[in-house]
Amino acid sequence: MSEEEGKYIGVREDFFNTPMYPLKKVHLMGSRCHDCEEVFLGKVVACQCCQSENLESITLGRTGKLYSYTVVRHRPPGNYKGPEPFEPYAVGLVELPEGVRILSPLIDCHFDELKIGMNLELVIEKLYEDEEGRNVLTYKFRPQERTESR
Amino acid sequence: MREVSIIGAGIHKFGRFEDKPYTQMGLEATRMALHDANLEWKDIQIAYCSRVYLPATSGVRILTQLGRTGISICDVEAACAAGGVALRQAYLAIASGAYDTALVLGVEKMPRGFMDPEAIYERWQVHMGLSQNPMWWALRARRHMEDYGTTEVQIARVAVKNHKNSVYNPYAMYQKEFTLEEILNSRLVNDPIRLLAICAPNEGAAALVLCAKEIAHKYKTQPIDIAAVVHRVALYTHFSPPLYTLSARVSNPPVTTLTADEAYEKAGLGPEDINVMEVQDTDAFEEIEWYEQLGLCPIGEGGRLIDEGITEIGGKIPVNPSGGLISKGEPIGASHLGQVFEIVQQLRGQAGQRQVANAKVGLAHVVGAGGNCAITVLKS
Repeated sequence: MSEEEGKYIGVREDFFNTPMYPLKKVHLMGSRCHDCEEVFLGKVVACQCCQSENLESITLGRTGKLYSYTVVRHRPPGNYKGPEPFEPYAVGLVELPEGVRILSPLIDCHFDELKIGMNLELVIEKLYEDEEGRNVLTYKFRPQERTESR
Repeated sequence: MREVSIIGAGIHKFGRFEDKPYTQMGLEATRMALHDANLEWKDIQIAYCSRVYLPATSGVRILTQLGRTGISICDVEAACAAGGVALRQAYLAIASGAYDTALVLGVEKMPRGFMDPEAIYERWQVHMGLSQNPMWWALRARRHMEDYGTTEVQIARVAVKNHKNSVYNPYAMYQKEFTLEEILNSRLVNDPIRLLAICAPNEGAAALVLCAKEIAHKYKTQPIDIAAVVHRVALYTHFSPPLYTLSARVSNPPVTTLTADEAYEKAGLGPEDINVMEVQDTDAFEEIEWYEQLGLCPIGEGGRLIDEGITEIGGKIPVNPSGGLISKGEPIGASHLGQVFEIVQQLRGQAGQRQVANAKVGLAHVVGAGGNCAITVLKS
């Protein structure tokens, strides 16, 4: 591992490929059940659907569709690592092409433009710096339509 | 298996009682239940205590104030369904023939404000701001609105109904009516969920005395029979906290449907036979979901039931005549037993101004973290 690569870790390591540098090569990882083909974000001990432990690691797609959404209007309790002072943020269930829905922060969007079924794309961003000075990275999604104007 | 009856019911008001220890609240509910059953503590053969946020051996600490009789007393925990599990264990203890009498006590003293998210969620979910229960209700509400045309007005009407019912419930935290406009103008917590349409975690206790039906006549002239008490944990893919990975492929029935089906089968009854219900309205939208999942109407038509007044006191199937958790608050370990207390009052015809006419069969429903669900069906 190079010195640069060691400076980046995932918010949960099994959610991402390694190394987590350079950032643009980072994507989400999942597990697929060999027996029933169900797909999960990250690693699971056994298939939550058919209990099989016959699972393989797979790469998850970078795009998805919005299944449902909400806006968090108040600072969450506990050790929330979002921007200070607190700003309301959107959260969505994002349906990936592999047939899994994951809960994700939604960024680069106006709340009133959120629409079920809209196309989204993956963004890998720093969430905070840990006590050892490493950048802790996480996944977020943003509307695909807006990317050209960025 | 023997039939089991409830012969005593007691409650400590739900609310905030800063200087009152849980041991005192639990004791008061227990004494009320024992008095109601015309039994003494020494007559109880086994006891279960449901609590989630209280210390180990809470049941022992509360109940041995009445003297050490040496009986088995143990705590159980199953998130919002904790009380259902305590009641189910006591029911099984008597139904099996191992014991003739049992006490079930639910008690809670929740921290103020939001619950500690790390009690339910992984640390990374807390760091990312994905760790609030109302967020999940909001995501389900938004999808239901998209799929079935359910409206914010319909959701607000549930809150209006329950707050109105609570005015006549002396054990509710808030006994205050709100107009539709007040609900719709209260601030957004997680869109479209608003402050006056969600419940607050709080404090309280409720207790029940159970005995084998064959000996109930010795204690009580009008015992209430337990027709079913069922606890289940959700199948994949249950759309509730703290999950972060859900399926877009499989569609197992939701845990409320599975638990209700088992309860109806055990009771030999269907949803059309129920005269009164207490359900988990931690937010107003969820009550609409439960109408559908408990079989009161087809999936997607829950909003119509509130529009047509079917679930009002005086409607065809009154839901949450106590005011529900929205107005009572949710002391997690006590909430299901509080619902059962209400159903017992309703079936005895002792619910005063919130009485449902001719209530013979009632159902209580809770569901929460981890996909825990409990349903109790009672009949007079």
